[in-house]
Amino acid sequence: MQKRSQYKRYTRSKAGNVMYFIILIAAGLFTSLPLIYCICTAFKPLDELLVFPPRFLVHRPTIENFVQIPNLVDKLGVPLSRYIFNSLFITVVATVLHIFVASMAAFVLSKSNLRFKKLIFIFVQLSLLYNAYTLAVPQYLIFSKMEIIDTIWVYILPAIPSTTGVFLIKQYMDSSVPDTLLEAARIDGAGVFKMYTSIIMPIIKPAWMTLLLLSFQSLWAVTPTGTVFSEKLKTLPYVLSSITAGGMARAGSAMAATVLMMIPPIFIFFISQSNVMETMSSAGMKG
Amino acid sequence: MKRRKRGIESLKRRYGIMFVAPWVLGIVLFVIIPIFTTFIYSISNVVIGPAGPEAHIVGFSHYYSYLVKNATFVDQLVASLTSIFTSLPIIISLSLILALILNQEFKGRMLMRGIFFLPVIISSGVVMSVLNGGTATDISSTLSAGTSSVYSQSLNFTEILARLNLPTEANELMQNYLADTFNLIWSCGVQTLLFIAGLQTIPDQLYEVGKVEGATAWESFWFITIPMLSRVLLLVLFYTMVELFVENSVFVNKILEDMRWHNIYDTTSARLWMYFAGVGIVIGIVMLLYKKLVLKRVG
Repeated sequence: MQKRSQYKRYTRSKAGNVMYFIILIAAGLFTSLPLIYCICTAFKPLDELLVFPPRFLVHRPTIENFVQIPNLVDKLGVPLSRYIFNSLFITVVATVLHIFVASMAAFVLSKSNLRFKKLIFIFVQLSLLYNAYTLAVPQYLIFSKMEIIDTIWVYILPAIPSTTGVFLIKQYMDSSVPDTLLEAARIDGAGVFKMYTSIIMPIIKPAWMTLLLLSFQSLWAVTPTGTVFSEKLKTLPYVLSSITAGGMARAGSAMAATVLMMIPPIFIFFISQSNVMETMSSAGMKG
Repeated sequence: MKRRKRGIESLKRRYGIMFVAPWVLGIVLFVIIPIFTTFIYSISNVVIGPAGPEAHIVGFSHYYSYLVKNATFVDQLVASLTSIFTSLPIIISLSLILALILNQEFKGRMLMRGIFFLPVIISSGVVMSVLNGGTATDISSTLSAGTSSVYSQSLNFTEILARLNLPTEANELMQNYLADTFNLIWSCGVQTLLFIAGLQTIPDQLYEVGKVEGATAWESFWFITIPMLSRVLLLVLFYTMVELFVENSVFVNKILEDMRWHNIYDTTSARLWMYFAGVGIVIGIVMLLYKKLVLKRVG
């Protein structure tokens, strides 16, 4: 009952509730319609795909587009399962490593007395301005010096030290983990690792769950950009783009594959967000 | 405040270094060194040799030629640096409102949150990688034709606006605004999530105390929610600015095009460095103002 009261604080009147829902539904229309369109298109038979101007809803749904996908991939000479494995392996390994590396670094940047940490942090914030595309060429030179070109590591290694994650987690740590709590833990005999695993990580769970989601969805979309040449090391988005390269006749299958590709990030979304909810009631050590 | 600066005693230096080392190593390898390389390119003439790009240092002549000799560069630079200030406040307040609403308890809340996160999955995720693939013009045109037909047929703002018989200028303004609404709502996904995670870390007790002391919902919003969110707000502010300046910038895309399709690395690097210097200054000013005006007040 007490938990309920927190949520009630924004909505005190019926009129207020109605207004909120109008905002939500109006804004929700903007975001959900393209997805609905994708799903509808995925079920369209060929003749409906070619209608111009494109129709929104599907009239005679068919699963033909989905059935076609394995056949289309077979032409690439590598079984679909291999691509699925690549994408899953890259996404999971890089996301997990990224969360560990980022949260440990954020722990230090937020709570330690390391010298120059402020300077490091400012410098790193500025480096966020450089995105992957701008650095593609110099990064390629480094990859080739490390001899990881055309291996699976070329996807994973650069994704691990991503700055956004450190920035995100540090910001949450600053506001929600009190220094006094860590001092108390130290007096009770907790080591640094103990602090990290049993105090820091549980408290900032909403932050790293959010990071998990962001990292997963961006890695899930990763494509080889001139650094991977072997067919058997390529990822699912690459397969998707090779299907779409087939032109208008394959638009249905491409859309079907797109819809299937969207399922894992959406799944991760619900896992991560329901965990964000849970922490709120379970972590009592806040403020 | 003093306590925070000193940090906790127990985090000894060696542990500190150990914890931060993997990340620093990665950053140096994959970000710092490449950034430095682009700087070298920007002050050189770069020729593509058999072993990759070869840089022959010539000094700041590329910078000079763009800043002084080029008639349009400086104007374009300034225009793209100031362009974000119309959308920045809207994105931030919109995502805060969405986060506040979605943080409440109601049936289908998870579904609603999911819907608002969809644009992130669609636009920066899989579909976008297809669109960026270059080969996939067909699907991108299908998607955009399809979605725009959705808006023109089922929502039909344009038609409604036309029927209203507004003066042409007002009509145009409204149309631009509506076209932007789509983009603005689509850019709120990550920010909304960051705000929700921030709202989750505010302890309930604060609101209880507020209630006992007789604070209205409005007062507890301004005196509890906003101050408790101030650090997250800084994060969102920074994230949004970076996104607007770098990811979706026409200016940067033009430079990248020259870099990728024409294999020009020297002048493009110089243009990027000038742009990023400008962006750095703008972001620096905004962050400094925020720290001075907001963070100082709320602690």
